[in-house]
Amino acid sequence: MKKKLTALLLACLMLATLAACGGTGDPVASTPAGSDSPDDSAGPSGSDSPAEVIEITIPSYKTGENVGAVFFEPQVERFNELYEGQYHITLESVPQDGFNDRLKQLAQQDMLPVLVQGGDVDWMANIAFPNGMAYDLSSWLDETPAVKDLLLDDGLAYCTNEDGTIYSLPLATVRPTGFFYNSAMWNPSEDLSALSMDEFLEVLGDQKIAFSTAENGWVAALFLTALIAAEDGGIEWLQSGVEAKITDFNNDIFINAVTKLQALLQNNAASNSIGAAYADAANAFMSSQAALISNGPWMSADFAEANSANWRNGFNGADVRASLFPGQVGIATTSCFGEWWISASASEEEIELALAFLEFVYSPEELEAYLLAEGGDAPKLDYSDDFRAQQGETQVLADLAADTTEDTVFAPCILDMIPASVANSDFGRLLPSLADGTYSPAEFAEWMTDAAVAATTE
Amino acid sequence: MNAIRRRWALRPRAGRLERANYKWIYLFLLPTVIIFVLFYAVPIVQVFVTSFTRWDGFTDPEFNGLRNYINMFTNSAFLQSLKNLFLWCLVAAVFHVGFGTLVAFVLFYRPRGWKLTRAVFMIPNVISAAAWAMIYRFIFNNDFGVLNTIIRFFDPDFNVQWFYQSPWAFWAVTLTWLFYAVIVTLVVLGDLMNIPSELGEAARLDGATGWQFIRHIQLPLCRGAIGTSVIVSLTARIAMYEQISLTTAGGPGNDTMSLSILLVNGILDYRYGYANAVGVVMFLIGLVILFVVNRLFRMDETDY
Repeated sequence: MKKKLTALLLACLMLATLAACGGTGDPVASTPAGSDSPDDSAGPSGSDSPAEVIEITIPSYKTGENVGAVFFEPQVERFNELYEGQYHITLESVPQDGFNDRLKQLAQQDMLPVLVQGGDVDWMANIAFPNGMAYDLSSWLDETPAVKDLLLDDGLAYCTNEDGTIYSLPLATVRPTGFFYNSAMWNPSEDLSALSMDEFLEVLGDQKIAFSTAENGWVAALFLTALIAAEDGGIEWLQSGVEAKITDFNNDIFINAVTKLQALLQNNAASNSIGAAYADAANAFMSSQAALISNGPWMSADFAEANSANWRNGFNGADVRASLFPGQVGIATTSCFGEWWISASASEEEIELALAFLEFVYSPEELEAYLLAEGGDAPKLDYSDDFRAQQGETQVLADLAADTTEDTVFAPCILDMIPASVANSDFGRLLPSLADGTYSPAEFAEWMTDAAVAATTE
Repeated sequence: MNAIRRRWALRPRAGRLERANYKWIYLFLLPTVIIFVLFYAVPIVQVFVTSFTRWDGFTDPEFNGLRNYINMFTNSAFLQSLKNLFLWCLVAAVFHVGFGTLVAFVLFYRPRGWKLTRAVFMIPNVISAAAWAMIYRFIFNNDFGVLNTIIRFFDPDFNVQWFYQSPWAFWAVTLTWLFYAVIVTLVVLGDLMNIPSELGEAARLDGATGWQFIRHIQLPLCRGAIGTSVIVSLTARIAMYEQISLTTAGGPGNDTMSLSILLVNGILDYRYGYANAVGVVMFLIGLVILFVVNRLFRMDETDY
């Protein structure tokens, strides 16, 4: 009997051990989703003790070494200082590459953070928002004209649903992407953004361009977007992808643009461009192997003296100038979701905190600080004199600000307008074959069409 | 049927004590069964069922019959990935397993320098596949890679982007895993060490040469280990992802496309039903490989 009892106890112990191994070890993890989930709150939620500090944790990729951390981390600290004793935000560092997947995982577990920093656009539009995962911001925006009056019209229209609900807070700033050039290697006298694309290519001559053709081919995609925008009807074609992803590339607009891109890849690409990831392209530019690189204004931080350790072959960040693309084209998507939304499962106190944070981020002082750090424009904001004076101190941001006028044409990046798998994988996968001539522009277009159709066929 | 009945009849009837112990046997099996059902059986059934649905991973799946399979088999990338898988399996079965077996014999016979061979062979095997993929990106880099630098000593104008040009990309990806066969070596070496020494002595007395001993005694007796190695190598080719994703992402074109890349692309597009259909095909190919290799190597037969 004793033996049997011991064996039974041992079996129970084994089961209990296995069950314990499967758990997270976090006592909070098994609580119902919502206010007290571990990712939502690192401290007391305060419903029973309103005097206590309301704390939340935000998963963010703008932390650590990420280029966005330079501005975002201090911004959160400023918020915490402003609301000391009332609210506190803690950042949870998530690598940018896996950030969208992390959000999806949290959503599947009904453990979305209170404040959600973006996410996969398709997922937000088709899964998260229609399934009630987001808090409706429309009433708050109506009660907070200081924020609503700053929002971009296109963005507000895009984010407003048919029933009037607004889940993603529309952007107040636009950061048109152009290109940077090393004036020590190439110093054209023309106003580059005022030229036509053909004139620009003539002025460019045999100067080298840093391209990335691996990963999603980001730098090549930006150039391709500019080439498409320069074609008749190109901008309208790109914008057609805002409503429904583009799946047909067999047209003159795309094929003509790809023909020019192929010529650039074959004649003007820096030597490391084939198979280059974004970091390789940036290295080519910052080691004077290429005179041009296309990227957003956030890259301006790389040209500051503080980052001179990354410069090679006599490259000097002070020599870098910036321009929008020929035809005054700036690559920016204004009809899009904003950076922030709030989880519908958050408690009232947490929503109160989240709204306070959004109001803080959209305050004129913070918007100006953001534009000074990362460039761009807030069309509906009356800039202070201090801001205008400081904006001129960073040469490339001043160049872009000078180019951004009422005549600027905004074109959405092609990667945002095509199905996700085509943008993330297929496009970059075929660029090397376009560069070495294995595929003609027409074949490239056909191949992209096949991939996009396959990605959207159910 | 008769054979089964006969085999059943031949089984000795369990004694009273043994029958009394059954409940304890089942009790101790319970944790394993629970884990198997929860973490293997249920997900596999779910993958099968949802492969016949249109499913975005969040909302309820909608039954769409064979649509996912029709889309899959009419997709040129899928057909190319099947072709690639077949070629990779061939290379793995012949060269990968062959190389691992060769090293096992070297380590077994311990010729001069065998310790160096062991160190040189084993150390790279502890590096992850993902890390090797990144290392190979440097090795095969056209500008500063070791390979092209050496080739340019003989041909200064040589330029090949190994990972980004047809037909080299396929072979460049193949090289990222081809020589890392430590599992094959360990499994075969284990079998070699278990061969009774009397067999060697008897063969020597009968006048067998060293090569004859290897060919007619050792290799046949390692049949089970080599078969196991082939199964492990081939199923690893089905699941291979990092080496492709981190180097060519399936390109150029579809030259290095694989089922795992297609599966991930399906998830990227929120086509979980389609992704699971790809998963089902991977699972079935794995079963076929298991069955064929089992039969070819007669793995259910004992040697001693």
